[in-house]
Amino acid sequence: MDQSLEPGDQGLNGVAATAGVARSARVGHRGRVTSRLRLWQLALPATLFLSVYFFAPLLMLFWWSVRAPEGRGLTLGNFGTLLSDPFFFQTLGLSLRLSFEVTAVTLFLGFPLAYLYTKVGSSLRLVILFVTLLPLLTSAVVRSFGWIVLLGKQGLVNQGLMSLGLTDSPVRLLFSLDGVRVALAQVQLPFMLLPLINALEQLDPSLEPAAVSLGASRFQAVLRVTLPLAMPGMIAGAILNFALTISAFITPAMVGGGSFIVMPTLVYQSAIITLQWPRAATTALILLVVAMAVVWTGAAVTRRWQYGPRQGGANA
Amino acid sequence: MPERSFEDHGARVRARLGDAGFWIAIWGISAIALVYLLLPTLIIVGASVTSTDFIAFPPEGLSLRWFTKLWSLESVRLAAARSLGVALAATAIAVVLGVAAAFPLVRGRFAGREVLNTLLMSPLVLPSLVYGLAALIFVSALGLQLSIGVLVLSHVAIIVPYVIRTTAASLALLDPQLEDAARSLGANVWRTFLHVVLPNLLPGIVTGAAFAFISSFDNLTVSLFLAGPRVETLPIRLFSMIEFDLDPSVAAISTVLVLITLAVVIVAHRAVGLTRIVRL
Repeated sequence: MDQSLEPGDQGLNGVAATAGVARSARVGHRGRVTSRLRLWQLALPATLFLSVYFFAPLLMLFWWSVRAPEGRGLTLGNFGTLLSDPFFFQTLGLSLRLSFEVTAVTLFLGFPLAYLYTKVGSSLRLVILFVTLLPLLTSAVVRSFGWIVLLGKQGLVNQGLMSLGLTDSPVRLLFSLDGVRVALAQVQLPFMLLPLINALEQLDPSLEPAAVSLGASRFQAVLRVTLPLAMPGMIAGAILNFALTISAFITPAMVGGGSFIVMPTLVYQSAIITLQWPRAATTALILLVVAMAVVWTGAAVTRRWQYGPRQGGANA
Repeated sequence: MPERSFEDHGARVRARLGDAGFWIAIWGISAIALVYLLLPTLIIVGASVTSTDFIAFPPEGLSLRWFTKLWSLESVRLAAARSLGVALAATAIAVVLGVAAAFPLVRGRFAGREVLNTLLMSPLVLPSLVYGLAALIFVSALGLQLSIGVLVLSHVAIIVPYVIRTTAASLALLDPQLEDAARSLGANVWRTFLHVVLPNLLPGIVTGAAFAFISSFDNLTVSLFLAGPRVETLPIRLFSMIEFDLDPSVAAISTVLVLITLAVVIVAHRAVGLTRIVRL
């Protein structure tokens, strides 16, 4: 019966009944806005919309990658062509390497800042959050443009390098892989910080002092206690970063110019410039599969980390 | 005995020094990370107030002439108006769809709720490049022309999860018995929704709408695929100006975009507080 009441409803229902309200039986659980309709029906508009305008296009993408050029059959020819192309593998390799490097840099810069966040007062916390969220929400076009200005021949980075005497003539940073590494790591850093802050905040704050009082230095305490406990958050941040970096299109296109090609550039070129949609669809799917593989591997590692080594190390 | 306490003292000093080194490293790397995060934004704002005809940082001479010039650039004005219209329409649709969907996700007791949650959140995980291409292929397979309407709907698809997520977070904090109380005191369903439920959800809805708006307004990747040649949004205009006619007006547009983003962050902070946003 959908009129069955939760225990907590009876008190209010009783009030209504003693007041002699005829419909009192219907007030209560069913009287809530949220339960007048069958609850799941409220999700129907959004679900239908996404089915038509999100999931159907994805199926269509898949269909375009496997359908035969003119006949009606299916083919794996598109995958075969791409996967036997050395240039494609080179591009995939570059994308993977770039994403690993960017993820490593964001982890190195992100952990100390997220750690500091948990140790400072509320006003400094607010500053850290503000500095994290502002770039996160700023358009990637705008941020990449900032890096174009920074990395140019007369840019601040080259001015700094020359005034420090590290180089005599301007270094080529703009339209190079190094420049893209620097810019991408900045664009991705907020996505590392948020999961890290979240993970570190949930740790018991008395664990580190306990380790210190037992004779560990602060560094040892962080390395042996905090870091392992925060590992799931670090892996979550790393996965998110990796998946976002490998599919990032704007920053490599703007800061890299045409100097090198990554997977997203390849997708864009075949889709918009050479108009080879089956090829574009296939490239996009391979990109998606690679990103998903990393996500799933990361999720599996997290589960092992949480449940494996401590409890089931022997039978794992 | 005295010898040992001397050793203890030495160990303590070494530990202190080691700790000092640790904190110097933490503060040092954190400072670098904070400057690194802010640098591109500061450069853009700085470069936009230059009086020179080229982009210079540090700016040479202070002037707002590049901001006043923006008004005379018709292509920029049109693109900005179009982006604003697209973002407002997409946000409005996303709020209606997202707020409704948040209820079953939080209060529902039906099989498949987790699956539904994953489905509705999946636009957050899919690379927008992949979605842009998929939507382009889909729209042309249906025989539709690329238009503003198509663009708005594609933006809705990628921003609706923000609204669902923030609304659901607010709803999870709302005691369902408040609604029972309102009903038993004679309020009808709509009065209850307007006066009890909605005011409590408003912070979450506002934050979600603000994030949805800025994501749509700033979107380039999906728009590049779906805007077509006649529908130029502000990010597309900016993208091609940076490539083809770069001057300080690009920095001025970027500064305006940064200010809009700043407004979004402040709205979110006022509505639910930045510390809570992190946990979403």
